Order: sequence, then C-alpha cells, then structure tokens
Amino acid sequence: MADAPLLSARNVKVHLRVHGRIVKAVDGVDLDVLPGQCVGIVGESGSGKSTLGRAMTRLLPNVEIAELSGSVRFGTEDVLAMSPDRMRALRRHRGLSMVFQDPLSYLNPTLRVDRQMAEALRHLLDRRAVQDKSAELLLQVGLSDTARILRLYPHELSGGMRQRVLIAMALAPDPQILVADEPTTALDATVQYQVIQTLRRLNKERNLAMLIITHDLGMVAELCDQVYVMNGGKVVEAADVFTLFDAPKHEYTASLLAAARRLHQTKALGEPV
Amino acid sequence: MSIPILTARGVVKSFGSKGWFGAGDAKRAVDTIDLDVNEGETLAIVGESGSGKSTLARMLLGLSKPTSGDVSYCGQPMGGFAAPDWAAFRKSVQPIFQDPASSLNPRMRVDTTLANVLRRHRLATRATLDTAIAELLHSVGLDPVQFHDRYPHQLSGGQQQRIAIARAMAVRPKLIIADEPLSSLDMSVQAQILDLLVNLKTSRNLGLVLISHDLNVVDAISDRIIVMYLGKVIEAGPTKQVLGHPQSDYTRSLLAAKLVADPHIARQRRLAIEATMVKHPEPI
Repeated sequence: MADAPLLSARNVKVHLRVHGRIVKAVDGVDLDVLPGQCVGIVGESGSGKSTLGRAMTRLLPNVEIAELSGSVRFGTEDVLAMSPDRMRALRRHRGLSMVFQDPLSYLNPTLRVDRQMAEALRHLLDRRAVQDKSAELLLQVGLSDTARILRLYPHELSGGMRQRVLIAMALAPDPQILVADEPTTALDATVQYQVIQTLRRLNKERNLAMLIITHDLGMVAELCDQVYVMNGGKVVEAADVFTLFDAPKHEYTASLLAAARRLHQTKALGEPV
Repeated sequence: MSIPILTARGVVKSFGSKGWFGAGDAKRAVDTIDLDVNEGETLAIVGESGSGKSTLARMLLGLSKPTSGDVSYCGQPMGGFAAPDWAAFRKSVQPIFQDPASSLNPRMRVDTTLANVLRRHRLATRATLDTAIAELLHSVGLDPVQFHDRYPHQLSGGQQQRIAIARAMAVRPKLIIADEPLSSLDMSVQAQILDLLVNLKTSRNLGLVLISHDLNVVDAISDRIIVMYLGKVIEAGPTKQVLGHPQSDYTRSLLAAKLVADPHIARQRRLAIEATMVKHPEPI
C-alpha cells in the first residue's frame, strides 16, 4: 500500500436542491483508488453512490447543486478545481473514462460503430490507424468479429455487445482509471458474466484501475479488491473484499449481505463440470 | 391426481407473420410448449431475454391468444371462454408484473385500488370494505393506518410491489402468475418480497408461476423448473434435479453465470467456470 492513490476523494459533499429542499446526496465521503486496483461502491438506490461517481468524474449537472465541497484528486491534480480544458484533456488522454448503465442511450443511433469509435480516436491522424486501433479495441473487449461489428448500427447490436462497444470506446484514450456505473444492470445473466470477465481481464492485463458503482454484491465479490458501502450519502464501511464479506463491521453491511445471500446462494449449485 | 389449474398444450405464438408481399418469416417467440400448473405448486419459467418466457406468461394469463395450440383452465380451453368463464378465470388466476410503478394507477389511492377489485368481484360490501382493505394491507406487511390513503408515487418500489401483490391477493386466487416480480427492486427489498411470496404461498396453498431470469430466486422458491431458450423448452423437471444435475449445456452455462455473493468461492470457481462457458447464438 505504498502507492499513492490514483483517484481520491476527501470529505466530498454534494448537496442537491430538489423541489426547493436540500438533499444531502453525498455527505462527507473519503475514498481512494490505488493504481491498478478495482474498487467497488455498493449501496441501494438513493444511497448517493452514482452522485459520488459523477462528482468524482465532474459529470454533475450544475443547475441543481446547492453545495459541492471537499476535494477530488487525480494524481496530484484537483479535479473539482480543474479548468474545463484540463478536464477534457484528462478524459482524452491517459486519464479517466466512464461507462454507464444503459448502453443504448450513450450511443448515437444514427452512426455506425466505426464512426463512433473514430470520434473516440480523434488523436490518431490517419484513417488506417483509426481502423486498426478500433479493431484492436474491440478484440480487447472480447468482440472478435470486428470487421462486421464496425459496420453495424447500435440497434443491430445485442445489449452485451453495446456495453462492450462502449467499454472499447472508453479504452480508446488509454485511461488509467475506468469508472463504471452499474455496467451490467440491463444485461442478461450470461452476458453480464461475460462483461464482468471482460472488466476483470482489463483490470489484470492492462493494470487498469477501476471504480465500480453497483448494488450487486455478487458483482463486487467477483470483481473488486476494495469495497465502500454507502447508505444515506455516507460511507458506512470500507474494507477489502474478503474482510467485508467474512466479517462485516457495520449493521447495514451485514443486512445487505444477508439479503444478498438470500438471493445469491453462497453454495455452488450443481457441479461445474 | 386432480386436474391441473392451467394446462398448455402445443402452444405457439408467432410474431410478424407474412410481410406485405408474402415474404419474411414469422418468428416463433413461443414454439410448441406443453406445461401443467397444479394446485399449490410453484413453477418457475427461466430464460434470458428473448427466450419467450414473458410471451408465454401473457398467454397463460389470457392476455394474448396463442397462434396455435391451447391453454386450458381447469380442463376447459380458454379459446371457448364466454364472459362468465373469463370472470371466473380472472378471479382465480391473477398477475403480478415486473414494474409496480406502471401497473398501479397513478391517480388512485391505495385503498381505492384495492376497493375496486373487492367491489368488482363482490368480495366486500360497503360495511366490510374498510376491514377487508386493512386485512389485505396487513397481509402484505404494510400498516393500514399509514398506507391506505397513499398514492403510488408516495410509495417506494418495494411498497408499490406489495400493493400489487395485495391487489392480486384480494380475490383470493388459486394461482398467481408473476413476471419478474423482483427484478426492478433493490436487493434487500427483493429478499423481503421473496419472503412475502413464500409466506403467502405456504399459508394459503397458493399456486405460483414465477417468470424469472434469476436462478437464485428460482432456487429459493420453486418446486419445478422449465428452462426456455429461443421459444423452446430446453429442460424441465423438479428444481433440485434441474439445478443440481443440469442435463443441457444451456442450463449449465446459466448456472455458471450465476454470481455468488462470496469472494472466496467466486474466485475459486472462476477457472472451473471458464471451461464450461458455452457459446450460444444470440437470442432473437
């Protein structure tokens, strides 16, 4: 743990104004993601996990914010105080990428996959390089039929393919950290499993740090090294994944785990032949 | 053995039949399915999106007609139902849908929603209505005093789903057909609603058809399982047998993709699992 954190939050508060009232969506959160580490934020709807993710990637809409304070650091830089130009540079090159829950709404329905990937690869100068890189990125996320997929429109892709295309686009700027907000919620079980394996491979092979925002403790068990449990805008417990599952300290974590175990049986069903 | 409550024989549903010029293939969303649902039994229909499980559920509920084949209620084919038959059918077979927010009337208070059902089926008089509503709310774990005058938007997702269950239970049905009743809910709420369904099923000898893609839920509640893939039944049998000793590759890959809420097991199983993942063509 000698590494300095890649992305860190200190006492981050996001208070939103909703119908004239102040909602403390995120209320004083500390969080660290070390280089190459996979960190999970778990919580139920309304716990503030997505708002925290958006605050840390500077994707909060300005209009409804009553208070935004604390500090978010990427390396040595203060993300919240960064100029828009610097932020854009960080997203475009060796910085921070995001993947969201509903892949269809983040793809342009009128453009083929190749055009959309080219937008993410604007730093490459000639077309040949863009094509090669696009194909390489699709291969990395486990889509092997690259020539065909590049010529398809988003509606012609299945849900799992769309999500993987988006992950491929997120990888285009060669980020150091990928922030994924419920990346598999809209997907079928077997497809969800493939996407999780894709993320895990990227984490291990490229040493890509990840911040995974999810309500699913099964996904956390599968993927994460370190876990933060959120409830009511606060982190109620932070621990490495094994400690958290084996010996939860906070009552809320224990109740989440009990619910998850009721739903995800801990024994393996059937023999993995 | 008594007559099953619901029977499906050779049920087919195709969509998008002939094109304008006689071209184009009809897609068989449900392709020749036979099934029986007995009294007090929980039957799970499992499959991924596009497998036809929801289309099948709609036909079992009489909400859409099979292209061919027939669904029978207590031995009587639904195709020949007259109005009184439908009334009797609706009184003993009730649906619960996935998204409670869109299956409740947003302009109706909880008590009005329940009162409508009770009055429609003449299960309460003006004098007994309030008690009947209170009992229903109580049976789904909601405090009548606190909840009777709420509108759906004043309820959380879990509370909305409880109301939807109360509405279905109001007619004291023999069978409930629930299409993904848990998947729009938070995990801790899912566990509560699951417990509620198990509780109602055992205390009232209620039959349940549970449509789900979640093998964990299915394993916790069902007696028998039907696994569907591309409109066909791939595997069927008692839950213990199908999940414990799956015969088909598809069921095995569904089991392999099941997430386990334990990091030790998740990591141990990974290697074994990767060897068993089977490639399948994309569902429709």
